[in-house]
Amino acid sequence: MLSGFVKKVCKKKNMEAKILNIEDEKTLKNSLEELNKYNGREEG
Amino acid sequence: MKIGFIFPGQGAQVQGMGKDLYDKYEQVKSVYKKIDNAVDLSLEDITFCRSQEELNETKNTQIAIFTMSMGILEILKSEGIKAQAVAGLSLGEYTALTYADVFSLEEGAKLVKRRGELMQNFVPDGDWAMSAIIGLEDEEVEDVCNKVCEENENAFVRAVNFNCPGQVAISGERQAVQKVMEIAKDAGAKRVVELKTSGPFHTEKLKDASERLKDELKNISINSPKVDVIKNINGEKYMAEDNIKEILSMHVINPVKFSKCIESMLDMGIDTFIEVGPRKSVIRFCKKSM
Repeated sequence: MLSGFVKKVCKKKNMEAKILNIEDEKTLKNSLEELNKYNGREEG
Repeated sequence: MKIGFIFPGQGAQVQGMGKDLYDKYEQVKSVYKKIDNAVDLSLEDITFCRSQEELNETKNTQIAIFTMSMGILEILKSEGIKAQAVAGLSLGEYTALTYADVFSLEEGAKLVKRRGELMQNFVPDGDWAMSAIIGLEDEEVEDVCNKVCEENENAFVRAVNFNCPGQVAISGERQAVQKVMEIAKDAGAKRVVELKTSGPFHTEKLKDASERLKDELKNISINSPKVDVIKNINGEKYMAEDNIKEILSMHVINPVKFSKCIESMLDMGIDTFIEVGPRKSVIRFCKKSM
């Protein structure tokens, strides 16, 4: 629910943000993978 | 990467939420046990075993959502993932403040339990309703609420949750809420959705609950936030000079400006938002739509 609100605020402000959610094992795994990818890119 | 955690409020709850994480992670179980002991309830029973209807009771909903979010935060902590800023929607602000060490886990849980009880038990007699108006500007919704109150002597309805551009929740007497829904629809609202809530939350009708919560807060130890926490009442971060107890007691009778909270986080450079907790959509928890 909140993720949708963030998307709309980003759109209004013409800004971009990565939006993740964690509510169960699947979304936890996906979010951790995304965060690791992002960190890897920053370090690389 | 600058991370912001955002925490859901009432309405996001789903029976069985977080069960797989509870089963797999010892640190999540540990959070449930600590909170069970602090509030003298079984959150496992409330969240995993009872019916959706029972979970939807405000006294159960608030502490159950808080507990689930705090459990997930323990997993993130063990993964070394920290937030630079946090915010929550209504009840979620307590989760944000607990993450920021303003309260201990146990004291945060006790407060949230009490808040839920007060918001359930100190609703004045009446037929109350809340609704989400989707597709109108904030000011348009406020104007419609004012118009309905002006034209009907005893009508009571307020715009109370400014969630994001084009989505505002209203709260008040059922008849007045329904009138606003009708006018909003005629004025071009894309959708109007009655919400499953039991009281005129975030309005002055919760004054008794607010005063009792103020008494509860007198006995709680408060620390300065360890990370930036953004306030619902104005979308600005808590400052050292803020009277947190006063702000929280007023929280239940004041509008929630969540949209402004997100704007502030973006302005602070937050580029990665993580929603921590259940996220049942506003559309799925609707009771009926027009």
